[in-house]
Amino acid sequence: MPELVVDSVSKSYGSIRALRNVSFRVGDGEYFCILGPTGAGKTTLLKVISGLIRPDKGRVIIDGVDVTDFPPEVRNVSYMPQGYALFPHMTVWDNVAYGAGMKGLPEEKVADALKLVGLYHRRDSYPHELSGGQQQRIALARALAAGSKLLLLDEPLSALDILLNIELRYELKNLCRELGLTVLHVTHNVEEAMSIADRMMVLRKGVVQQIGSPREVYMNPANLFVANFLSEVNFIEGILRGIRLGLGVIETDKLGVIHVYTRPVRFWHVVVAYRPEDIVLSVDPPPTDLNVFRGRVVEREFIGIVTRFLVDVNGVEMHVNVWTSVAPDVKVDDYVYVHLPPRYGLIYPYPREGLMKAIAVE
Amino acid sequence: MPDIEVRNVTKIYEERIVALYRVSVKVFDGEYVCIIGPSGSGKSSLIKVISGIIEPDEGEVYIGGRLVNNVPISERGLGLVMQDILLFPHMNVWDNVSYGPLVRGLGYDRAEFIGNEVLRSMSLHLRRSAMPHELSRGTQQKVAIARAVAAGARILLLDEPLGSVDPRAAKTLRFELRHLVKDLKLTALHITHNQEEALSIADRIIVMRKGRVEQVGTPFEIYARPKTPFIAKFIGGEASFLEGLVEETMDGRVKVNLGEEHVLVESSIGFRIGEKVVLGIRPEHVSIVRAGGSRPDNSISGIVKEVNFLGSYYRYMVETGGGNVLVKVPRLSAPSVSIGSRVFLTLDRAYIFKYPREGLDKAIAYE
Repeated sequence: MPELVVDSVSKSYGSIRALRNVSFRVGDGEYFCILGPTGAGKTTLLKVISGLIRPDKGRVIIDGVDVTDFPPEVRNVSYMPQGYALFPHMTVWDNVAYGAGMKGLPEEKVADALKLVGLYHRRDSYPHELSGGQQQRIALARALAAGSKLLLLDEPLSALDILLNIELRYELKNLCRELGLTVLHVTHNVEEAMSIADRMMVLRKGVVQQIGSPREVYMNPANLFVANFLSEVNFIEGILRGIRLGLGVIETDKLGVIHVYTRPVRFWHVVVAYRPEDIVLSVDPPPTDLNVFRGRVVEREFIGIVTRFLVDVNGVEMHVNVWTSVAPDVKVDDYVYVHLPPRYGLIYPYPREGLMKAIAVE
Repeated sequence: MPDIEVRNVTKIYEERIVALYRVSVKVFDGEYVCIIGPSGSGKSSLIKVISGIIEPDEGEVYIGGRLVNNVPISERGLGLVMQDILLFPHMNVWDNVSYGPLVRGLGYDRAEFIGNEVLRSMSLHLRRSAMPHELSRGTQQKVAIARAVAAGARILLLDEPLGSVDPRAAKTLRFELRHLVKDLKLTALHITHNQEEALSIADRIIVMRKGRVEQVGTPFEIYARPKTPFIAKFIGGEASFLEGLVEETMDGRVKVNLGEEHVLVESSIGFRIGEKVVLGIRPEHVSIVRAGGSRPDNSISGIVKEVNFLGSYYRYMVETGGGNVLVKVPRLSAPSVSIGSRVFLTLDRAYIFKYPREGLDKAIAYE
């Protein structure tokens, strides 16, 4: 059964180091997402695994067999490239039958794959006669028809409208689970990865930043880049003056002293990160004195399920997200209480390269 | 008098593709209106008809009260900003922005004044010497808008203006765009497929589908009182739908039989007893508790089939007698349920619709 090991893989294009010592393992039947901004090396990594690109260094092991030196066609890997790459002059049927190679696939395999994605009835259509969602399904059928148990998907949902993306992402995951496939799914869309990944890997500039379940990565981001890439984050710079009973005492420029729970750390110049949904906003004073501030509402933005607030607290702009159904009845320029619960703050050493560079996505 | 008025416009391509069918729309002076709809809904055709890129088969277009059918694009007084950013690549920001006033023969001093004022109002004056390729896509788009405004446009037509901008930058840019329109007292008609963008930026939203206007209202009205199942699904996202039969009608409420269970739903319109209906349920309007304790009033029971962690919230797929219901709960108030748990769902709010003639699946399809 397919298990994939990528061991210390590096790949450079001239002076650009696309992958730097990348190592990870994907278990049999696992749905594994590779998440990162443009230029992170995601596509290069898939091409190395599929055999389209040779790594400069490192090994690719599929089912215990070192396939690093094998050509793509004997690796037993299905690859669905970004943008689908359907042949415009071929019917749906021929795209699936001949897409994988010159030989063509047996009829029943083509028919089965088309039935799996629910488009057997469109087998005589041409790609341009199909909607975006249907084209996506045909590309998927072509990848599935080859029959490999290891499926590599490069941005499979990115060309779709957001609502279709949401619908198809769960469909895709369920289908792969039913077929017992091991899947590597590359995306730059955080919500997409979080929704369907069993585990995910965050990649930046060719370097692995973190590997874990969506919950692990979201709740305990390994560094400032990961914290900021997964959602909008409020950053507060400060000096850690000491830790008392697990509660870090941090002196900040504009907010005075704030308290955040922390494990013992060996640095003192810190950045505290708060996710917008972890900050509490209220009209009445909250039942605590710790980390409570007065702030003025600068923006109130209704976006459906969530209402976003931008609040000015002593010259610090804070993003606070509140579930619309419980959002306080406040308008722009109203004053509110802002509470930073000590247990939701994430503490990081202040980056040597500066905060903006540390979190930059490009 | 509305700045833009479209009356009964129909546009049919190749004698069979209905791009617009009897569309009527008004945009008032100083208003920021978004048109939202899936691909193929007719939103781009509508903006093309207004700008004069295509002529309607039937109907009239008025701009500032003047009938403009057959008036060329350049004389309609509109600023057109598209997803593909069209700046003169060999000119710097200043030259791009002051080009319009100069071409209009306003003279160098006047062009200088207008250009400076517009650039300052968009916080672009410090970048006036930059070349387009040195700017981020978001800033390039700001320059394109500045150019349209400097050229004298009081009405902006924006076709997916943030579509090619990095999503994070787009979140900031949409504030700037709205402030610009309001500060300079412009009127804006903005097309987007991004419902979050529309909810955030618009005074009113026009939802289009299959060449027709499906609903017009403020962002909150459209979200809180969707007229059709399609809108309940399209605006907000991931609504669940259950089919049922009207069992009883009371004062402002309807008792709906969902097969094994029934629920009471508020309704402002009347239904016949025995009538087939659809309930639209937003995932954030459902409370979920583990079965075992006392059963909440007006609840339905189900089994959790899927749990997804999405950072700020959890998403649960619950199988009930009447069909699957999605539930979303903020992370900090998530219940302790897992796959296989028996749960009770209370519908804090549900939308009741007459059963669509075309069938439910077709009524909520966005392709």
